[in-house]
Amino acid sequence: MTGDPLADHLIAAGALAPDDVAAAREIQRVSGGDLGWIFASMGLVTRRTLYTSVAEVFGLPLVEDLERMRRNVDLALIFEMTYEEVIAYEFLPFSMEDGVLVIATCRPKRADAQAFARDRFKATAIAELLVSDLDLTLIASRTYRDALIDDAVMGNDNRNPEQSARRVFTQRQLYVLGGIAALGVLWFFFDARAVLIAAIAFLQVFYLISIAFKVALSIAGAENEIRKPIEAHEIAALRDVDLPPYTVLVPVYKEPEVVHHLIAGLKKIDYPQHLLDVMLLLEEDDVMTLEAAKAARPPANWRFIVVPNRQPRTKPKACNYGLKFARGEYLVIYDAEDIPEPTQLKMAIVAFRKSPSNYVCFQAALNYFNAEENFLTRMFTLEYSYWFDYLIPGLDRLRLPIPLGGTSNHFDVAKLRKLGGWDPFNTTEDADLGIRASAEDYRVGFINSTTFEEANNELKNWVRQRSRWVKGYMQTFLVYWRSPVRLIRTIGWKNFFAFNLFIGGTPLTFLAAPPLYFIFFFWFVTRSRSVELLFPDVVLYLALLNLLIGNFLGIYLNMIAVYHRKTYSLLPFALLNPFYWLLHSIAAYKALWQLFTRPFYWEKTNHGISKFRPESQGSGEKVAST
Amino acid sequence: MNDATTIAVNGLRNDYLCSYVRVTLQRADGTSEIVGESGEAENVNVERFAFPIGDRVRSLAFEVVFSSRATDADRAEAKIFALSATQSYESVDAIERAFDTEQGCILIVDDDAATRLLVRRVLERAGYRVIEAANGLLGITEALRSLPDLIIMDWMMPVMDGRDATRQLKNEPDVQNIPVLMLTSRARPSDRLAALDAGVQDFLNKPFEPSALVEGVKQQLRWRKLLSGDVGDVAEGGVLANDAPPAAAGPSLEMLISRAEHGEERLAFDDAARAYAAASETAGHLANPELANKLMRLSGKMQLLLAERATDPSVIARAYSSAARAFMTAGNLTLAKEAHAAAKEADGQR
Repeated sequence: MTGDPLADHLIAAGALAPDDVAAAREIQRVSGGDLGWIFASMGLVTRRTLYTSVAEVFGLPLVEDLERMRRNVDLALIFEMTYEEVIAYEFLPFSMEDGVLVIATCRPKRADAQAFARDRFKATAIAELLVSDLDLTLIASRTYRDALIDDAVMGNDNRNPEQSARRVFTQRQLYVLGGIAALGVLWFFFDARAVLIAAIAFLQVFYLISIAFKVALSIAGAENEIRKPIEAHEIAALRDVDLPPYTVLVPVYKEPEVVHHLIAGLKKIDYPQHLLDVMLLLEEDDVMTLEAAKAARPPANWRFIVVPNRQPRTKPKACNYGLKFARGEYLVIYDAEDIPEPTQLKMAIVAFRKSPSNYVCFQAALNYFNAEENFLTRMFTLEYSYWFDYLIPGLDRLRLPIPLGGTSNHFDVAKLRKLGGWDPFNTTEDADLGIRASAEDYRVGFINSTTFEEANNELKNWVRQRSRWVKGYMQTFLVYWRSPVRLIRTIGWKNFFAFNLFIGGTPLTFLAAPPLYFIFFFWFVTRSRSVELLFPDVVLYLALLNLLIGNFLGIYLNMIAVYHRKTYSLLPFALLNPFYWLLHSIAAYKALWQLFTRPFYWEKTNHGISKFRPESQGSGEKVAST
Repeated sequence: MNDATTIAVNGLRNDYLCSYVRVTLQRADGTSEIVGESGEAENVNVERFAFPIGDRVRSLAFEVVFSSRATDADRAEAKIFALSATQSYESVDAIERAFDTEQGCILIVDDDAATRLLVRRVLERAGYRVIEAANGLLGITEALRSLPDLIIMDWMMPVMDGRDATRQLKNEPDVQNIPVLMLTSRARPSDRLAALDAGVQDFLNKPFEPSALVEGVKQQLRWRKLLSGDVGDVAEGGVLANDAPPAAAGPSLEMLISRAEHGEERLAFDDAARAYAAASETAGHLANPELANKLMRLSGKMQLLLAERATDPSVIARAYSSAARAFMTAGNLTLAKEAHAAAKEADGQR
């Protein structure tokens, strides 16, 4: 006898061994929580066993076929509740007779829910039916389907159409851009040379500034190396009892094979399993992955959330939908193949607790586990190492807006909801959210923990992914240039400047590079005097400076990145960066084309094509000290 | 109750009536005994089954599987005979049941006699009546003549192949609703699409597993029953979402939707409404949520149309209320609220 009626019942039924109960008890002692839920989260009992036993022990009728029950539900009661309330209070009203309200709930005797129900339905008494939490989620998602998906798609647009990328260009932007283009053409007609010189001069000045900016960021970022933002002892000092529920969103699409990896991966995370709320976000037409996920029989703290089929079919839409059901106080997004360092969630909590209250998100560093696979993965790893180990920490340190990376961003759920979630029409919803946060006086920070991802190892796939990112940057740039004056007023000149260089500058750099390279090689080969006409002395020196110093610095900064992670074998590859940049340019032109033709089209990146399996790598331990 | 009566199952018209007969006695104490059984797939001379029965017999059950040459007249005659032979016993129901074990008539169209025999054996054992045809053209003739419940069609056959035959069948008003299962070894998606295009409902792989054949036939017949408004036990109840995925499959439901949609033109109006309602009952338990949702929305729309056409306030109220429920099930609470309000209003007028 254990003294706990549910545990006794489960032991008597042969579902649990006394040792299991002791283990669960220990977890409960350290981290609190509900014992039954701990059993289920440990995978000791299935959800069905848990709920059947709870029903028997507490004498509650268990609704097994909630769908059938729903067909007999009193509609008028359903109309009285919003989906937010159903999700928050975890019950669905069923019928009302003589002041007795019958509800179906997965958390019986929950005081605040009962108080709410009494108040809302003017009920004198409440009778409870037990349903599993997953069935309740499922039935809420079916009953409130349209409202949920409408809000996931249009929530951001309704909240503030000014900040939604649903319209690519505003009327005014079209007039202004058209006006500038018309003036340019007109001027070209009168004095073609002057226009070209002006354009080249503008680009050269822009390049110079953006190189200087990158150097400044790198220096600021490098200081981060010395000053570790979060120390191991701070994480060790966290007591499990103080840990809040943490939601892990994993959007997947047609990736049935990843579920097993994911279960194994998330088990390694240093966080009490029963406080982890893992939500696998699946698209409605993706029955294959759903079946695979069910067949994998994950523990009970996993939920499958099926996102209704509605355009645009983007990851941010799925995440918005998932956000509606999130139980955690904090939330993180991972891709299915991601391998986060085990302490990442705890580190995020420490970061939130020691930062001012306007921090909405902490971005973890991303790096690749298959760096050594081929040229592309090596270049990609170099790029990411530089980006996440120097540029982002630099932005963080200079308190500039941080464009988030697509995964491993840790949010404060309440604040994220206040911000309106992600923009489903933006194909770099993460970068957009980072900028939006700073436009609304929130901050995004950076934590020194790494998630290992799968680098794109295939050229076509890489171009798809990159063109999606560049397109998203263009969208974001256009969105915040709708009212630049207001943006400057809200985020200030410094941030505005950084925003333009980072979000606007990235596509521009890659779009402008090929023509400039071409002019240089044309001149180099032909020594044509016509080229000289376009480069008066000042512009020529500027261009030479950029060509020599700029490219050198680009390569040099990339090389530094290697030292941070001690991946010296990548070092010579940094020299090949100019070729890698050319690939960026190809992607940038594709992105520009798509911005006009299919602005919201999500170029899905294929995952799981690397021959390197995460397990075969040293993974988390390798850089655990960063 | 008579004691020691001898029942002779004789007097039937010819030797080819049955292909399989089993007679079971149920005793009053609950035990049962098989008192006579023919071999399988023989042409049975039922006169062989003459046997004595003692008292304390509760009921007598004939399981009869008719041969392909049995006509409706044969079947009726056999039933009358069996009833008369056992009229002195309590449970005539049992005999009724025995004859009702014939669950449907299935036409197998295949040029290979061995395949036909195999299909026949498997299906007859599962309680179906089986008729045969040796190529597509004969298949069409046989289908038009005997109106089977389901057709199993080979693809490659002389004279007329299975795809052409299916296409022709789908143009015949009398038989176009009969589901066609294609039995084929061709597994390429393009082939399958071509066959679906011709009107095939589903596929069976050659060589087939007997259980898969019976399962496929059962499922098609269930859908057919459902469409005719006779809501069966299609719903798989008792599902805790994480533990037991529902078994119903997607493609067959696509078929269901398209048929229900055709039903709007072809069937009487309320038949279509009923088909939608039946489908939406089922939809909650389907593995494919998108299709389920589509069905429920259609169901709601049909009920709205029904309400608009009706004149009797009680019918109107009922239709609106069904619509409200269908829309709620589909997750459109805006429409559900409107329909709910309309139902209340109609109720008030009553």
